[in-house]
Amino acid sequence: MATSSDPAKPRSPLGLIFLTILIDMIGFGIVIPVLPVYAEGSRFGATPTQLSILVGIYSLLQLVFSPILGHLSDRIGRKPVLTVSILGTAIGFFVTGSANAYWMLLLGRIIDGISGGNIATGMACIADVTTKENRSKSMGLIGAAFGVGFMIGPALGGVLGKISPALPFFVAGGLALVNCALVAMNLPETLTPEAQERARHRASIGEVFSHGRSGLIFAILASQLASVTGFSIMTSLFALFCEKRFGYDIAHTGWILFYVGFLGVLMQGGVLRRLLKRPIEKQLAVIGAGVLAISMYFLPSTPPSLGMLLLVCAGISVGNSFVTPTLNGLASRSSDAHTQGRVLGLLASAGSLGRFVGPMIGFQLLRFDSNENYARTSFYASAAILVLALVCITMVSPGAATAPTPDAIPET
Amino acid sequence: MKPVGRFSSFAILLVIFFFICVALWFALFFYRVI
Repeated sequence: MATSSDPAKPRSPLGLIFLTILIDMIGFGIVIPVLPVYAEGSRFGATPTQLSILVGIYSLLQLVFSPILGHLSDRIGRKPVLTVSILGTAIGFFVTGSANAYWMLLLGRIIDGISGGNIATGMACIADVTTKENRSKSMGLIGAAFGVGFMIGPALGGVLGKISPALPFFVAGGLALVNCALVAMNLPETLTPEAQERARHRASIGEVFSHGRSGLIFAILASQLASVTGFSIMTSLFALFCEKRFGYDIAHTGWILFYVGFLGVLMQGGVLRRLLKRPIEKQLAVIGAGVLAISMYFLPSTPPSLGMLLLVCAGISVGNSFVTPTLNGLASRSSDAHTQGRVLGLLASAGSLGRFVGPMIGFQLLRFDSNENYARTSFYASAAILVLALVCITMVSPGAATAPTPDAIPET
Repeated sequence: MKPVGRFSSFAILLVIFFFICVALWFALFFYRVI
């Protein structure tokens, strides 16, 4: 645990940061199976458009506010920013949980989105307290926290949601409060004068796109935008799809998402690590996007058997595990140490934009299908967008960039 | 289906909000926050 009985001895904040991100991801994951079902139910009766905004607004606000909070943490320190943003997350969950009208649900998601700088600030903390040599390994911790949180969260959300529809939000809010207290009491300030100095000398736009890298960076960003858009059509509609097509309740859906998360952890932690000993990121990303597109094409016509659904979900999980880390790796290899932070920031922005655009497309296309083939058009659109991602990835040629760096971790 | 008239003003607001966010993002990028 992160608590220490010996206050005189400075502790490494890595354990606490790991816990922070884990709790944050569990909180985020708890909501996934519950939110659309909760909002669509008789209590709120949200229309598809209202649902798409409810799911997407968080990412749209994060697109703008995550960098602002990151910037603020370079100035006033990591601890205050992290504490306030986790507190905002808690308030957002409580507002969503106690909502009795659609606008209150939306308000909760807006508060959560505005204060959603937890992960970026946590990563900045890790960059502060690690050396270049061991940073990669420590960032791996973040990946592990992400994976495990995303595995436990939906299962917990499903089980709690069955007891009471609003309960998952209160539990997620409670978790965030505990997290906030832990950070406020135990996290040392990690911002160093060197990190502040580094933040002041960020690469200019000219430098980011120099050395003939612009085409390469745009190809990677387009790949990221398309693959995240395609994937988030699935994540935003999955719970409702399981309910309408298979008659599953949110607990069932939560367990299926647990299985998807578990496979993802296995793939990223075990298989991908071994495969990436050779520089075959592009090939793996192409295969991942292909597998993801095929799985999304078959998802709506899955026969009503759990075995078949799990098979298609395995494709989705494996495909996504191949695309996400490899695009990150390609982006960092395509930039030098000076511009890496900005390129990875752009990649994160493309991801946020995709997580907003995906639900917008997915929910709008619902009108073309009846309940028997619920979300078929949306999932076909997702498959088409993923094919587009595949085409974009094939246009990425890492060899075209000069001065690649073996260090895959951002500077700030 | 819900009434189209009531929904469209909501949609227009959303589109305006989206463009404000995107404009803000570009400003952040050019001022080296991102």
